[in-house]
Amino acid sequence: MKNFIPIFQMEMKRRSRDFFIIFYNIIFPAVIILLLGYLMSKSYGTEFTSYEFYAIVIPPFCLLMAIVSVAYAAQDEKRMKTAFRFMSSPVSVVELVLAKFTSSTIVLTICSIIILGMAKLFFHLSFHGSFALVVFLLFCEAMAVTGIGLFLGLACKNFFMIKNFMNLPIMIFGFLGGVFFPVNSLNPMLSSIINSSPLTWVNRGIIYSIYGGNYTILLVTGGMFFLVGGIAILFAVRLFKREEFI
Amino acid sequence: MNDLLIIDGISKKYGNKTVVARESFNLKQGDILGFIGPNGAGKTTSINMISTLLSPDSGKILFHGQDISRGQIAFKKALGVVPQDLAIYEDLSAYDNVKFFCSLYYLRGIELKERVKEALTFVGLWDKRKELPSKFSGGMKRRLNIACAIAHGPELLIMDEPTAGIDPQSRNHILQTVKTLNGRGTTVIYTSHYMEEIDVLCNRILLMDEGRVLEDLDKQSYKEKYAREGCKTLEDIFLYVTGTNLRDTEE
Repeated sequence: MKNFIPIFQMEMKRRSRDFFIIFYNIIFPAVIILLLGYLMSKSYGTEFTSYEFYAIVIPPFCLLMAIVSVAYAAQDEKRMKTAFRFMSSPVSVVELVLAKFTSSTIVLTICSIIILGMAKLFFHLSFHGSFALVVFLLFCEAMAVTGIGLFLGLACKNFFMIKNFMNLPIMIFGFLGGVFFPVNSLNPMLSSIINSSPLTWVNRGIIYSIYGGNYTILLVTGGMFFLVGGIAILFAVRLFKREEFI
Repeated sequence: MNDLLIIDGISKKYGNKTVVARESFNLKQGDILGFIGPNGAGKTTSINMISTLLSPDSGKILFHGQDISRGQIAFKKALGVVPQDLAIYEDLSAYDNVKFFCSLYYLRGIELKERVKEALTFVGLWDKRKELPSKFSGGMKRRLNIACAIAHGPELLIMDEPTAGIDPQSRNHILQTVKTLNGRGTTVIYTSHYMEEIDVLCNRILLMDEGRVLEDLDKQSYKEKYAREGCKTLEDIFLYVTGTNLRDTEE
């Protein structure tokens, strides 16, 4: 693992300047919270405002969308033609994939912390002492998102195919997870479909922990994301092909 | 001189198409081997196999007598590759590019800094070290591409068309760089479509076509062998051996 540190440092530098990651995980969610919060302001009361609702549900949704940004970042070396250098130097696949995984997870988590901080500051979202737990959940989600994004980016040659393939399920998960409007009032028959969205569990976990002091859903959901991230990274390493990476 | 590299009957197929067929040659320490052939001859595939980017379907490659498939790390530490395409980060300074790629060879601290300075000075870019390659000319980018490959001090350097699309001054600088490196003990495999470069630089020339080695001789032997066929230059020999038909190949 001698090459993990230099690649990790380089990846941190590149990911923290990554336009897509910064835009879709800080600027875009801030604008959406502001816009939807304003549009739906009359549907919510003063105790729990629309701004607070969207400040809770939008960051995990934008984090899920980062699968596409991470897949794009996974193909950085191919686009820059530097993959050749990595593959002809004494860098192992494990070092390369783990460095990309940890750096993207950290940068995505930092983006989430910034947007939660903005929600606290500008939209007066109170976490009732659950801020650290919410960050933990988003960190776990970032792990899963990075794992899946890296796996797709490294396994698939065509980025636009990944983008088109992933956009639809992400949007469906968003709708089912109640990102755009609350779905609890829909037909109970739909509840099993709603429950299939990971965002349903993320949003429930966050709301239950903030407003109910119940952390079970948050911790179980975090654990599931952790597992998914680990499995995705295992697949990314096992199925890594030099020819595809170059 | 000892054999540094032994290529022993390596082959590569893509589907039903044989790209490299039982290729064999030896490389002695201190050689500058010109690797020439028309488009689609199998040069890049051969280089990719030697650089461990591709595994041969059959045959083996020995470095200092050791099969590189077993001792990949030791081989890779001794290998420098200048790829045909520019392999640099345009958004990192010249210094950071060389430093990063050099650090992949386990160099750290003062030694790393010294190697980076030496490599950038060697290619004439030390004064431009803080600038982004996106502001560099084609020739400067090519030189940076070389600096990234030589900073760790490779024993074997593979250069795949390092002078493509640059001005004569930069080309001359690169050719001098190769000669100086070779003078310091670096063994070089050099591919180019510019026959005059091969003629000036290489002591041995390997001519490939359709995945096979057609000739592997030292420069003088080529000229003596083909003089009777009316070939005066290396380009004449190249066209005589490989023919004048156009080679429109797909990657």
